[in-house]
Amino acid sequence: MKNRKQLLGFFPLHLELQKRCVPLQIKNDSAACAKSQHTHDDILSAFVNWAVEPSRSISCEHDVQVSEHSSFGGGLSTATLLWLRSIKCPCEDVNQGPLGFASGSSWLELGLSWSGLCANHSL
Amino acid sequence: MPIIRCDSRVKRLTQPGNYSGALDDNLTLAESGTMVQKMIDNLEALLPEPLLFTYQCGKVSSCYHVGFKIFVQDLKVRLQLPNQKLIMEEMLGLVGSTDTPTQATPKIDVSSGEHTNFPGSWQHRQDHAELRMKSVRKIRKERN
Repeated sequence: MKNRKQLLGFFPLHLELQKRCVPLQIKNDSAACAKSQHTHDDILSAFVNWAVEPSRSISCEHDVQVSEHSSFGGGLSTATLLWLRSIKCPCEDVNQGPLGFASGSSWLELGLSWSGLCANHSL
Repeated sequence: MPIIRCDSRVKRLTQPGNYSGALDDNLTLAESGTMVQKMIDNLEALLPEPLLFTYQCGKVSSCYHVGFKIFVQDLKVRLQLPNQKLIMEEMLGLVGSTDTPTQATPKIDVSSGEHTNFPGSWQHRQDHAELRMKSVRKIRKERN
């Protein structure tokens, strides 16, 4: 009886999981399919040379003085503000990336980009 | 990349000066992403006007295309970032070196090479920023 009760509880959970898995599997398959059409070098070159056109940049009007109040201190915050201004953002909220991949941008890449700025400018 | 580490049970802001320092501090790629997000959030909270454009967030495949076996939760638009070559070189290097690249240390050497310990505890620094954030929230409220 106890097992029967547990099984009855498990079955709706299994169905719910199936429902949630399907969209994720489709997404994975479509990304894998797009990836298989290009060589690794093609993909890398496309990501390295990715340019956003038309683009917009973060406003230069923000008061740099506020960075003095930041928890990270003036130097790091000003660097972050300058780095943000050098990012080119798409004008529309459309996910188009290199080679037609809807790749988006990850915080991991943003972190590396910021660190690269430090490597160039010695903060 | 600045990081927060415990020193005698007190959290402090510190910045490794080179790859060796980053290894000592166990700075990971995932933490780099988190810290840059923290810095942007911090700046945004200090400005009365919006800093960033608004874009959708969700699962993105940028890391997967480079070889990571993951989709991550991030911005759904592709930005043109400074240092795109370095980003790709680093990500590829990490993919080749370990099974869990997000937990590996990026190999970026800064020119200064000096380890920086920022003064005051992290809590004190946050309290100082919070004072300004309060007045910013007031300005925003008045504008609305």
